Amino acid sequence: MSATSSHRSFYGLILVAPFLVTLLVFFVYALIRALVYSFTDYNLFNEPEFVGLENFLGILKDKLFVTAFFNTVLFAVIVTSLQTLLALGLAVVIGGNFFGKQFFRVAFYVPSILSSAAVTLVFIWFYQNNGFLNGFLSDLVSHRRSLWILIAGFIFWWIALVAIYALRGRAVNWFDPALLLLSGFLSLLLCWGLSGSEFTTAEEAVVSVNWLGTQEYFGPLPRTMWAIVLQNIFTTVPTFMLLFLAGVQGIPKDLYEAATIDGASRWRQFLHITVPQLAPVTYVVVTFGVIGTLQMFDQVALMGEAAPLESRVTLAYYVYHSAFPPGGQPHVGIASASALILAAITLAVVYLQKLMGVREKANG
Amino acid sequence: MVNEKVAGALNALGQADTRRFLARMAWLYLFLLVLATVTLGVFCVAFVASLKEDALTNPTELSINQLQPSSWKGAWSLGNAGADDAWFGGLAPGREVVFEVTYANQSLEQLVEPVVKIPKRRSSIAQPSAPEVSAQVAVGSLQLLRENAQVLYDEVSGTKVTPRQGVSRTWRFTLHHRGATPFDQVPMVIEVPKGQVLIESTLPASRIERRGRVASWRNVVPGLLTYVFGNYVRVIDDARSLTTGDSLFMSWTFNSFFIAVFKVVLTLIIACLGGYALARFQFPGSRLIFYTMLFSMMVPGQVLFISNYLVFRDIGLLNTPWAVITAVVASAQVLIMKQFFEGIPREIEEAAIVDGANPFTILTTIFLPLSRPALASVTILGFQGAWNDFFWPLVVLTSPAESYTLPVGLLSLRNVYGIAGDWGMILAGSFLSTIPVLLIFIFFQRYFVENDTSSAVKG
Amino acid sequence: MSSITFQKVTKQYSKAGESKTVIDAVDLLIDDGEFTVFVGPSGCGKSTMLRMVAGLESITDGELLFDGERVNMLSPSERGIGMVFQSYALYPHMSVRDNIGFPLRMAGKLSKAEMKNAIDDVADMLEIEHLLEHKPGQLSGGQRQRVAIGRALVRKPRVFLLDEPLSNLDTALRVRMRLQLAEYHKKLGCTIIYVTHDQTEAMTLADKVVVLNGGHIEQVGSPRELYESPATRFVAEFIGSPKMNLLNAKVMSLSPSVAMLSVLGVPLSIETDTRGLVPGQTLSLGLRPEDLALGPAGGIAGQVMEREYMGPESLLYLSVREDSEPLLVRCPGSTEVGKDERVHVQINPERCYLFDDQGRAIPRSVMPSKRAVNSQAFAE
Ligand SMILES: Nc1ncnc2c1ncn2[C@@H]1O[C@H](COP(=O)(O)OP(=O)(O)OP(=O)(O)O)[C@@H](O)[C@H]1O
Ligand SMILES: [Mg+2]
Repeated sequence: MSATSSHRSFYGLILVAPFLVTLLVFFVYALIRALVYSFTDYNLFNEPEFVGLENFLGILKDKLFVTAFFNTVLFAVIVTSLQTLLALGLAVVIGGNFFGKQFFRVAFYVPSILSSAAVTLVFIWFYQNNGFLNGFLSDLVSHRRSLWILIAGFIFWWIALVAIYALRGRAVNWFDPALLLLSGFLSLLLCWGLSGSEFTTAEEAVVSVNWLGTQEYFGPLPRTMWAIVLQNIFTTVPTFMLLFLAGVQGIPKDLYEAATIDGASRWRQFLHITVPQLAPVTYVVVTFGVIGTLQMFDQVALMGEAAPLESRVTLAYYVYHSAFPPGGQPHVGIASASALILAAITLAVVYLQKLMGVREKANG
Repeated sequence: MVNEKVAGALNALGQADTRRFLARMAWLYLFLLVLATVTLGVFCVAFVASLKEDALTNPTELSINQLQPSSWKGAWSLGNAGADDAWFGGLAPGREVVFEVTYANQSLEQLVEPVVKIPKRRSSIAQPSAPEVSAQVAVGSLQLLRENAQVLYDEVSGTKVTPRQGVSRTWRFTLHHRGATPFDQVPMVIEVPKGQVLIESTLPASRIERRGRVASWRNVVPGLLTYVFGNYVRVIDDARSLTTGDSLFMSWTFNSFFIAVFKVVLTLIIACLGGYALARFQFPGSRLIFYTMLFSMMVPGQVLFISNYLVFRDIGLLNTPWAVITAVVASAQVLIMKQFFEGIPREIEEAAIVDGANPFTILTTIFLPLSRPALASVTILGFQGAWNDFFWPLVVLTSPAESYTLPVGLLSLRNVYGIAGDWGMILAGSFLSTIPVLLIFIFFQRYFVENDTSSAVKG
Repeated sequence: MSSITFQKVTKQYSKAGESKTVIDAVDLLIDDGEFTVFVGPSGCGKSTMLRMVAGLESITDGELLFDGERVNMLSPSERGIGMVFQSYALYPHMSVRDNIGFPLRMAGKLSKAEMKNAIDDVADMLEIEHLLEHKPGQLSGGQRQRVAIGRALVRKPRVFLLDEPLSNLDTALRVRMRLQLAEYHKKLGCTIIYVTHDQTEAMTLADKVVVLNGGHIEQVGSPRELYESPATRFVAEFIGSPKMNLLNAKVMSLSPSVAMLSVLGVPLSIETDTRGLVPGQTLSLGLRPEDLALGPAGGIAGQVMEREYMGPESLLYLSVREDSEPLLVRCPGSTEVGKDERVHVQINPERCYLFDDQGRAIPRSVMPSKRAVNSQAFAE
C-alpha cells in the first residue's frame, strides 16, 4: 500500500466512525444481546441466568403468543394483498396522467404522512360504539329506500338507453362511459323527483356494531384486527396508488398499440403488459407492505383498553408487553425470544422476495 | 317521447368518440373526487367533531353550533364583555356579562321563568385546585324582554323530533363577577320544567340533558377562538403537569421539536460522513460495514430495543430527550447519501484533491453544496420520521408526563380522557400534533413524492 | 518548472486477489519545460501514467522523480501540479472566479487582494475576464475549457497535466484551442504532459511524443522522428493519416546492403541492413499513401474501388488482390481517374518501411528522413 491509498483508508475510517459507532452499539451489540437474552431468564434487574431453550418452548405454549403470531401473519398477508391489489386497480382505472394531479396528490398523501398515533386516535373515535362509522351506517340503513330507488333507477335507465340505441339500429357498447354517466344522472334525477314522497321516507334504524371492544372473530381475524386492517389500507392505498400510477405512466404506449393490433383484449393487455411492466413497483410495494405490517405496533398500543388484549395483540406488541408488562415482572428472555422469531419471519419474507424478484427479472 | 329526445340530445353531442372521451373524463374526475373524499373524509368529519363540545353526539351531524356565524357573534361579544378579549374570552373581576335566553312552550301558562345557576363542579378535571367559580360569580335577576304569541318549534326527545306550535318568551340576565380571581371559564346551567324548550340563546348550550329540562354551558364567556376551537384550547390549557403546573401539551410539543431537530442534525452528520466514506473510500472493512448496514434495515426494532434501553438506563439518560435523539442507526440515510455521492463525477473530486483540498474540505465545499436535493430529502423525511416516531420514545420516556413526545403524550391523553369519553379533546390533540408535518408536506411536497418514485424505479 | 523521471514505474490493479498490470516497468525522462504528449489507443494506460504523475493513482513499483526528487509519497497538492480533466471537472455550484480561486483558497497563503490579482491575471491571459461571475453551466465548451486551464495555472504549477482536454470540443474549436495551448506553453514555458488518443494533436503540439501501447512505451521521439523512422510497426501504423499501407513482402534474395523483395508478385529492390534476414522470409512492407504515385505502367496494378475527392487531393482505394485490404494512394485532386479504372502504382524504394515478424523496424541504410515531411499528412 502506498502513501496515497493508506492515507485514503485512514480518512475513510475517520469519516465512517460516527456511523460505525452507532451501528455497532445500537445494532450489532443490541442484536447479540438479544440473542444472548433469548436463552436466559432475566428481568432487567437480576443477573441473567442461562435457561437453554426454555423461553422458546415457553412461548410456543403461550396462548397469547400463538394468537399474536396468527394475528400478525394473517394481518400482514391480508393487508399487503388487499392494499397492493387495490392500489394497482385504482392506478389502472385512473390510467396515467390527468389534469389537477397536484391537488389530488395532496389529498392522497395526507393519510400516510401523519403520525400513526394521530391517525389511530382518529380511527378509534371513528369506531366508537356511538361513533361516526355506526352513525353513518345507521343513516345508510335508514335511507335504504332512497338507495334502492337509486340503484334500481340506474339499472332501469341503463337497460332502457341500450335498448333505445339497439332499436335505432346503432352499435352500442354496454359499458360506454357516456351511457353509464347518463343513466347515473337520470337515476339521480328520479330519486330527487321522488323525494318527499313515501317511497323515500327514512326509517328509524340504529346500527351499533362493537368494532373494537370485542373478542368476536370475523373469518380468520378478530373483528378488532379487521378494524385495523381497514385503517391500514385506508392510509397506505392512496400513496401506493400514486406509486403505481407513476409506473403506469412509464409503460411505453407502443406496447399497448402493438397488442391492440395483435387483437389482444384489454384484460389480456392488463395481464400481459401492465402487470409485468409494473413488477418493479409491485416489488417495492409488497416489500414495504410486508415489512411494515409484520412490525405493526403503534395501532395496537394506542388501542389500549379499548379492545381486549387477545383481539389486538401482534408479535411486536407481544414483545413489548413481555418486556414491560403493566405492573408486572419484565420477562426479557421471552421478549427477546419472540422478537427473534419476528425477525426471522421478516428476514424470511425479504429473502423470499429477493428470490422471486430475481426470477421475475430472469423471465423479463 | 322523452327517450327519443334524450337520444336526440345524445346525437347532438357529436361524434361518439368525443362523447365517449368527455364521459370518460367525467367518470375519472368523479372517481378521483370520491377517492379524495374517502381519504380525506375521515379526517374532515373528525375535524368537525373535534370542534363539538362533545365529539360523540350526533357523529354524522356536520352543521354544528361552532360553525354558525350567529354563535360566533355571541362568543365574540361575550368575550368582549367578560374580559375585553374577544378571541379568548374569560371573566375579569368586577365585570358583568349580559345573557339572553328564549324559551318556548305550548301555552303561556306552561311557560315559566327558568332557573339560572353557576354549577358547583370545577371547570377542569385536570385542575383539582382551580378556584370555584360559583362562589365569586353572581347571577342577576331575570328580566322578561319579549313575548311572542306565535312560534313554531321542534321538541326533541331522544332521536324523535316533534314539530310544535306555541308561544315564546325571551329573558335577559347578567352574570356579575364579585370576587378577585380572573376566570378563564364560567360554566352555567339553566333548568326549566319538562316540555319547555330552549329555542334561542346568546350562545348555544353545550348540552341539553334530562329530556330538555337542563341546558348546560361549559363556558358562557368563551371568546371567538375559545368557542370555535374550545377543545383545542382545552387540550393545551387543561392538561397540566402535576408538579410544575405547566401545560403538558406545550411540553410535549417542545420535546417533539427539540428531539426532531437534534435527531435530524445528528442523522445528517452521520449520513453525510458515512455516505461519503462508503461512496468514495476503500478501507479495511468497508464492505462489511456496507452489508451490516443493509442488514440492519431489515431487522425489526423490537429485537434491539431491550439492549438499547439498558444502554440508556446504565448511563442514566432514560426519560431525557437525549435517549431518543442519540439512538439513531441512520442506515437508510447513509444509503441515500452514499448513492447520491456516487452520482457526483469522480473527476470533480480529483480536481479538488489536486487543488489541495482534504476530504473534509471536499465534503463541505464541493459535495454538500452539490447534494442539496438529497440533503433536503433526508432532512424533511427525517423530521417527519422523528416527529411521528412512537415505539422508541414510548420505551425510553415513561415518566414524568412532561418528558413525553407528542405521540406518546397522545397515548396518555387517550388513556386519561378516553375513559371519560372526552373525545373532542383527544381529537383536538391529534390534529394539533399533525400541524408541523402537514405544513412541511405542503411546502416540500416534491421531496415526499420524488423520494417514493425514485425508490420505486430502483426497486 | 521541473523535469520528470519515470524509473521502472509499474502500476497494478488487484481485484479479488488477481492483479492486472496496467503499466509495466516504464522508463521515461521528460525534460524541464518540454511539451510531452502521451498518445496511444484507448485503454493503453495513458491516463494511468498521467494520474500517477498527478498523485491521484498510487505507484505499485518503481520511482517517480521530479527534478531528481522522489515524489511517490507526496500528495497531489504537494507535488506542485496543475491538472485539466477531460470533462473539465469544474465545480458546478461555484462561479468562475471561485473555481479559479479554489486552489489558492486551499493553499491559504495569499491575502484576499493577492488572490484577486492572481485570478485576474489568469483570466486576462485566457481572455475570460468577462465570464468571472458566471457559473460553469452558463459557459460554452471552449469557455469551460479555458476556465479549467485557468484553475490549473493559477497556482503556477511546476508541471501542467492535461488529460484529453480537447476531446469534448467540436473540430473547429479543437483546432483553435490547440493553437492557443501551444501559445500558452510558449508564454509560460512550464513542463506539460498532455494525453490524447488523437495523433494530430500529438504531432502538432508535442516537443516529445510518447507512444504507449498495452502498458509499455513503443517509442519516444519528436513528431518527425516518429513519422519518419517509426521504431515499430505499431507506431508506423498509429502515426500518420491516412494510415500506412502494409503489404506482405517475401525476401527473394539478399546482398549485404540490398534486399530483393517480391510484393504482390512485383519485384522490388530495397537498400537496407540485411543482417538477420533470410531468403524466403516474409516481412511487412510499409508504404505511406502520400509516398505512392500513379504511374503509366509497371509497379503494382490495381482497380479503383473508391475515390474520395477532397479538393486539393484525392484518396484512392485500390483493390490489388482479392483477399488483401485495399491499398490507399494519395494523389493530387486534379488526377483524372474514375471508379473501376485499372491503374498502376509506383513504389519509391527510398520511401519504404520494413518490419520483421515481431513488428520491429528493420534499419535502413538510407533513411527516408532525407525527404521533407509532407505537412499535409497532419491536416485535419
Ligand atoms: N480502477 C481500475 N481498476 C482496474 N483496472 C483499471 C482501473 N482503472 C483503469 N484500469 C485499466 O487500466 C487500463 C488503462 O486505463 P487508462 O484509463 O489509463 O486508459 P487510457 O489510455 O487513458 O484510455 P482512454 O484513451 O480510453 O482514456 C485499462 O485497461 C483499464 O481497464
Ligand atoms: Mg484516459
